[in-house]
Amino acid sequence: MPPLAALALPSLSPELLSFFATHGIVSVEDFLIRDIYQLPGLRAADSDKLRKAVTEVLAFLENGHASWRNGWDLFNNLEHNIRFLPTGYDSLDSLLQGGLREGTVTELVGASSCGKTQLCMQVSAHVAVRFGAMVAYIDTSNSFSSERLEQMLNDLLNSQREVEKTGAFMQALKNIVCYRAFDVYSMLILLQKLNTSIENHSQKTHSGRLRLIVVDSVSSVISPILGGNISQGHTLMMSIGQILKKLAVDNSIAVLTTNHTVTGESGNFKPALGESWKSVPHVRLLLRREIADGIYVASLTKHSSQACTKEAAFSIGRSGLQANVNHE
Amino acid sequence: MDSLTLPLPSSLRSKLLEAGFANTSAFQHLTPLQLARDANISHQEALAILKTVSWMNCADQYSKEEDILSSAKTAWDLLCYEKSRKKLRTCCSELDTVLGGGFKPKELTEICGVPGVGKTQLGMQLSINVQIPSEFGGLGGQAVYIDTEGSFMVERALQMAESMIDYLKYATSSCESTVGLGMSLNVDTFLSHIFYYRVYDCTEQLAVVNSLEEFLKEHREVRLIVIDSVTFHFRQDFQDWALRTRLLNGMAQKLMGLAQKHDVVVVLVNQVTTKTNGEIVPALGESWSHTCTNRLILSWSNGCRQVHIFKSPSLPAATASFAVSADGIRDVESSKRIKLCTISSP
Amino acid sequence: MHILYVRGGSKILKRALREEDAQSPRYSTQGGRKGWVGMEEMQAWVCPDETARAMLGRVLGHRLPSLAPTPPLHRLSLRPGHVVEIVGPSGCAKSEILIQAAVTCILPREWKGVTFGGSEGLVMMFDLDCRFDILRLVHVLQCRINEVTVRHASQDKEESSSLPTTQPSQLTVATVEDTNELFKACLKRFYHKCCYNSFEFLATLKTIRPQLQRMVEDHEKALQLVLIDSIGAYYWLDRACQSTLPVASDSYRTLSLQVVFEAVVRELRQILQTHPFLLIASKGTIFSSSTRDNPGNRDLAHFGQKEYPERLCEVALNQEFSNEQFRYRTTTEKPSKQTEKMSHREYMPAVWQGFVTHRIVLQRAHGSASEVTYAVDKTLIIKAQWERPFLRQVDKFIIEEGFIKLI
Repeated sequence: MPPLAALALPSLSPELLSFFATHGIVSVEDFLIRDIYQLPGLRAADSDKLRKAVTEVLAFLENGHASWRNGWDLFNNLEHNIRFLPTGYDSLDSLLQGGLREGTVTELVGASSCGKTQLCMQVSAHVAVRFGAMVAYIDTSNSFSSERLEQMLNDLLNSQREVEKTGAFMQALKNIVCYRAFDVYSMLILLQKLNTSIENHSQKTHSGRLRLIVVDSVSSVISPILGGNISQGHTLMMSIGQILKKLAVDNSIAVLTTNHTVTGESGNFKPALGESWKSVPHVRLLLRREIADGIYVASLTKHSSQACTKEAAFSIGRSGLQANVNHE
Repeated sequence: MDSLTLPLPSSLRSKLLEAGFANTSAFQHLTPLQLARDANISHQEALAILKTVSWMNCADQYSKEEDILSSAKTAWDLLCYEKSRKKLRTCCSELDTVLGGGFKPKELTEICGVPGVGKTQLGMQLSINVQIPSEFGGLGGQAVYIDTEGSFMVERALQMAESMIDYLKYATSSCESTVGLGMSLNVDTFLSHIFYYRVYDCTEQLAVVNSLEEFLKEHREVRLIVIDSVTFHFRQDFQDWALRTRLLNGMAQKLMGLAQKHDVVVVLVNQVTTKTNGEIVPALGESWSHTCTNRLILSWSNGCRQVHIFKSPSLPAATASFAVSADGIRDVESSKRIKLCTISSP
Repeated sequence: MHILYVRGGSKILKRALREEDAQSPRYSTQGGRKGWVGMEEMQAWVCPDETARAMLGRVLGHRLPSLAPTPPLHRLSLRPGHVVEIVGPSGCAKSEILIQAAVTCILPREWKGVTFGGSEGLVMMFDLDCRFDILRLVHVLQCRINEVTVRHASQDKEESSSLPTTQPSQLTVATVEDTNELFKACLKRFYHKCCYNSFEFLATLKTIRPQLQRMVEDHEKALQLVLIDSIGAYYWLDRACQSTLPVASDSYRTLSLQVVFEAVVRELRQILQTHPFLLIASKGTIFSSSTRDNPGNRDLAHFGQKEYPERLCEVALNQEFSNEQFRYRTTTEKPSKQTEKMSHREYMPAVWQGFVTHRIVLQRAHGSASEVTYAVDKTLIIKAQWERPFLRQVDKFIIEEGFIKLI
């Protein structure tokens, strides 16, 4: 937030600004925190000017932020503008009531090698092909493999003719942009830059707008700094959560993140990153490997608008997640 | 970016926030004197803050770009790179097939197994194989071997190097153009291109990993980093488990960054431990399982050594057998053949 | 209030009178008179002002109506001016309770002959978590409307079956259109705003009054309910702004959790003066219970070689929630060494704690489905207990379709 002087509002005269400065009110944050009308040393003659100044600053703030929306507008917006992005696996889509919803943050939690990265890549492939939309894939553990994407896309584009197929294939791959971030500061800079880039990029429509952001995975960059003497760990974690939510809600983008598991009580696994991170995702999917080899189960453990009672079983094949295939 | 999220001591951060500098754009153009005056801090503190901000701007690959959506690498570019990149082969064709051609650069691969199954042997074989010249389809690079247990035996490396040279000479003898190349290889070159570190505790291990950035800048030929083993110093005498997790995760992320930036193969050797129910699992806990890109589990099966791909983003789960012979890591059949030959010869 | 000092040896009689009492014809307008007062005056003071019945009639006449809350808030009568805090870990239906309260508020008392039992007021929601889902609100609203209309239609049918002249089919067609109209009218009474940090929240609070005036005039309804989900959303971000250095007494510029919430409470109080409303705020738990998230615990050697510290995080959440064991410790900033029985740890600053008038604590019932057990056939059962004022009864409830059902 800028200092008050930089707002250049007509009612903020230099005398008023210096009066504010004597009381330590220099920036807009100070203005918000202090009770302006209770400042000592205010002369009666100046109270009108003060009221005018306060009204103008508040009007400036009101314009800067989104306004109140009533339920009917929200509902209409949801029906007409918000889409569900398919994951590529029908059972999972029906579990999520259609897929990943734009404007929400979905989290995949699972033990090692449970199919989280596979699902992330599969969703990216499907969104890039079916919507022609851009996908931003943020990779923190060098797990993003274009060759694997190629395998998944081959099956998806199988139905098309060869000539169209190559073009569609190349276009789909060009719609997916890949970023690497290996520590929390790079990730923060990246997300902030993405935020500013999105508004500029929406004017260029050659590759469709950004509909999906995948972060694989958040816990890799946060677990080295969380806990212990580093007090900044939680702050950085919640800053990342705040930016992800902002990216999702303000721009109607679906955000998919992965989280690891840590050992909880009596050998059970529980999501990493602690209790505070649980307030970030709208939807949480728990992936686990069944004892029988090759079978995985996805269960819904948190959803903002439906009960979490369902599960979907899958196995991982060439084309990604698919219905259970009996192995010999 | 936000002042809240700068990697500074909390006292400096709070002083910045009190002065009203909520964002780096508000003060990064100021001189240290101006910043010291505005934020009511000392000159040294102002210098430290500006230095951190400029370091973050330089070190981060994305901070300079205006529109990162347009200038980013797409999956198509990455596919072209992936199809053309050379992979680090072991001398076992079954293993190479299952790995999709060999160990891939820019990825962290973890090798776990019970003691004596051949992890160190594999590590040493890779240190030799990374030096295969590009004319023979190898990476033509050098290796860094970080030894924490003292299991690296120079004599064994010498043996493997000699056997590799014999093989390469044999391979080139039929082809005129590469005969000369084959003749120029010698064991001294092979051994001198393995940079060996011996670390004795966890602090040294972390210090060596931190210093690798500078090392790799100077030695641009390095294409392989092996840490054997990553577990040894973190298992005993480490009381604070949360600290251990943080340190290991931090180390893994640094290695990821190095692998990505310098295009190296990183191989980490891990041990195994027994859970309370008797099950044998890789050591270092659940949080470590998520850090590496690939995980290979070595085990014994019917008297044969096997590699099982447990975790990989691009490879299907598969198993391959390999053998450890006098020449190094080889296919099972070939080593059997060699055995038969030695038995039958008088 | 009256302060009456009569000292045996002293000749000072001191009276402190409130303004309203001073204007009442019964009391002398001369305040603070020194010296002995006459017996008549003392007798007049000791005499009762009014009977209890007269007082009840007066108070009820002036009092703002209570809002019909949904379970588990049903045990206490909540009225505008109260501040209710719902505390619980993630996944305990806090947002669900807020949505149920909102739906009760936006439904009309009676509409086209059908009694819905709502308060027909405006609801404003500050979504600090930014996770509000309009689909859930719509679903709950539809369930409520359907349940009432079906009940009403079946009652009508019973009545109309006894009369020969009514046509039931026409009645149902009209009801469907009316239902949509009612649905739209209800949704329009619900207002929502997302805030991403404390300053946006404060800016919204400061700029709300003219907008609120407009809304009240448009709808001709009063603001009855304000929801905040959740009040602890910016805890870590605001805490990081805090100066770790000793603060000079005249330093106005220190940003901290305390200062931000002083401003929040001040603004809310000012809005309460002109538009009395019931405030319900949800608050999540920040520390899961003991170890990893707790900055106070570092050396974990005493937990044994094989024990992972993360395991202990589940201990407190799975504790039996019995009345005798229920304890809490109120701390503001850093929690000290915890006990395993603790199920609610306070982290909000004192100014907010003083503002809250009611607090209810939620917890997953032991043995119900949790994130750790992968049992999908188990229903989520949640326990609720009022902490302020402290009530011994523990309510259990489940969420079924659009309703919260007590079990």
